[in-house]
Amino acid sequence: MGFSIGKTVLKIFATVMGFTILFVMLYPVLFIIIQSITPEKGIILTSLTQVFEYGVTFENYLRAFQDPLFYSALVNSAIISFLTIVISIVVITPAAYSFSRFKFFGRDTLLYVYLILSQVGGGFGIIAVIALFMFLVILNSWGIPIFNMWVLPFIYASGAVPFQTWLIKTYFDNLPKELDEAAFIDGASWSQIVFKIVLPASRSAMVIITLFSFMGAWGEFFVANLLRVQTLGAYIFQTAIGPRGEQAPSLFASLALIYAIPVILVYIFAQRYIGEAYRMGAVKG
Amino acid sequence: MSVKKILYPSRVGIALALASIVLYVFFSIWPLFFSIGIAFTNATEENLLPNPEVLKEIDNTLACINVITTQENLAERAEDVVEKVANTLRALEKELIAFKQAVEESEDHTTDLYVMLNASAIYVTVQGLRLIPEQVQKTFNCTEIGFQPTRPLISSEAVRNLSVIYDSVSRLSSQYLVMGRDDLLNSINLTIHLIRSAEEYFTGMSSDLQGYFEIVSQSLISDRERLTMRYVGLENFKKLFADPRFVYSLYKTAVFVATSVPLKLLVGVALAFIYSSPLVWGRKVLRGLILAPWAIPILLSGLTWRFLFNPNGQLGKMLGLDMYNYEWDAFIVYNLFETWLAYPFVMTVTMGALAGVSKDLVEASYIDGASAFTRLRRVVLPLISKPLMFAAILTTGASLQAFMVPLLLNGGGPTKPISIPGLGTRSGNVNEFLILFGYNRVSIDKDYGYAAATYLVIVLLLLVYVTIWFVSSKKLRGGR
Repeated sequence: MGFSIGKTVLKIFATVMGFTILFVMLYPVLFIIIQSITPEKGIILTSLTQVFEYGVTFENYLRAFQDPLFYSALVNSAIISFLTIVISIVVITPAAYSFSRFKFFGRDTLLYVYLILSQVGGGFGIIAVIALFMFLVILNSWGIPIFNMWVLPFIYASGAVPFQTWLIKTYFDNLPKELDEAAFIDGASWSQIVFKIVLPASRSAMVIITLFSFMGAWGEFFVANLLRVQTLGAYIFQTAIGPRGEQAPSLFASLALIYAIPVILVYIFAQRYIGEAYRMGAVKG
Repeated sequence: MSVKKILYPSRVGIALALASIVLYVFFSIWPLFFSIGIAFTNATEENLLPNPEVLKEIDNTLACINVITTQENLAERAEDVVEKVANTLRALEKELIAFKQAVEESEDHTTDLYVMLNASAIYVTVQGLRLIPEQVQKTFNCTEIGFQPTRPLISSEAVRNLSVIYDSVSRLSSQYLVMGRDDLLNSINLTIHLIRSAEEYFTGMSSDLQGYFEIVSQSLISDRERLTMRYVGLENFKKLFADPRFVYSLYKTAVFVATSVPLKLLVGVALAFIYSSPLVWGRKVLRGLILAPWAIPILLSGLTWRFLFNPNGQLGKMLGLDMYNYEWDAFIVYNLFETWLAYPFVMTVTMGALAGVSKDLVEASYIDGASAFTRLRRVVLPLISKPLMFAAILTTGASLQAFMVPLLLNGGGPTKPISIPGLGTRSGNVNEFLILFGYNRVSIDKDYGYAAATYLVIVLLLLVYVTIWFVSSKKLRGGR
């Protein structure tokens, strides 16, 4: 009996500790939400209890949508995200299928390169983007007008190729091969197999690509800022991350939250696959 | 095998994968090779995208100088004009000094005859200057000779000064009667000063007009060189390794790896142990919630941390940290932010490994009477050490390539003089980690060739890391 009481006390203690640590770790999240709903006074909250002093308002969120720059950035972000998703699906699904089923010259090397590039961290990505920027400057000087928002979806889709190819390849690896083999034996041509069997079977793969491409394209700000395309991310990076953000912290907190919420929601949907992706990194190769 | 070959012909495989490969090569691989080429040039924003108008202007001006100096009548005219200006200015200076003396010696400059005489002499002389600015303009005008557009051959400031001198001298000679004595003397002194500098300029020109044109041509040619991208060999790399900022960036990145990696692992592992302990009620929900930093776009996290660690923000005040002005304050905030961003990863990996530790094994060790510490050290740690190694290597890579953390918090600042023994001192951002160092050379200095060289060196460093990662992760997997 005494043992069980001791255990209960221990449990209460451990649970309190668990909640306290959670509060500490999520404090920044709580802070930015509360900052976004305090009336704009040009001050950064120094204590969350100030919310009782200043009151709560949703005016900042409404003001955000009255800002024409913010609104056009939102539209740009939506267009770019949509195009990124379309390009990624069109390009990556067949490639992943090919990597899963076919053998061709350079296949294994390419898969290794993709694995390394999707696992070693963001540095290479940043360097590649800056190199791309210099290259685009030159193309621009040759009269190829490449500094516009229509280039961004291609850049984003290209950046997603290594990781998503691996992810979708794993998905196809788990699909029964007998399906396409049976169709082939029945005399179906390759285009028939692709359109009648492979595409319908890869619906979930496309959902995965959609989720990841959306998170990538909507959340991205660095490339957009470099190429001077006003996406939501670029807009917030140029305004909130700087003196202007500190002058109107509540307004920019709500802008940044409006920008972040779609990504967070999609993340929750995609969580299952993210876990899978990390496992893949630990197991494959 | 042969069935597989018939079923999956490699040409169909290539056809299916081609679009993605082309996309990837064009937007991600090719620019890297392109930037390797840039690393050996002096590319800057100006010469990568030279303005053709500016280049034409320079070429025209050079051709114009050539015509003026070789055609005798034009050269003579130029010499005459310059000499005339120089002489007039010299005369004017002398007369003004005399005028000043007269004013100083007179009891009342409004009635003194000597002052009046001097004033009228000045008036006469300055009339010679009236048309001169226009004349100079005309003589040194390439449009007349047929070059358009061009840069001015003569400093437009010098020509403007001639007009100013004319104006102020005429004002002196006509209005000295209504001016107060001190005011008048002041004006005279100012004008003399102006005349002297103009005189120096034109005397220099007239004594060696040929030499003057040569200097102008030289500066135009060097402008042209700056605007032309060219191969510079290893110059960028020499510059890089002699740059105190780069050496300091290497050092700072190494320190950051050494401090942030243990911190991330410690926090991540500790949290994993706490939230997989059966003692915590509702741990499944808590576990999901505490991974939140993973779900939040880094831009929002960055903004939040900027606010919290603002010198006037809550945590900045509470901890007394001023990341905008103090080097190591900023460095501490970077470590905290990086840890906050990365603990979900370490935690997930560790929890995955802990879930694999079989209960039987732990129970067996209970029965054997092992203490909690021994249990942890002998049973649990060996089982999670491999996944943890894996996480450690990946997270080391993240610290090595830290870019968003310094960029979003304070751009790698504060700016301070950086001294490296043997390389001297240079002002720069003291917390620029490697990748950010290259980026700032592009975004702040617009020095593309230099940035490309920097990145080439960084990529080589990263390749060393990748090799270590690859070999050790292969070993880790092989041992499983």
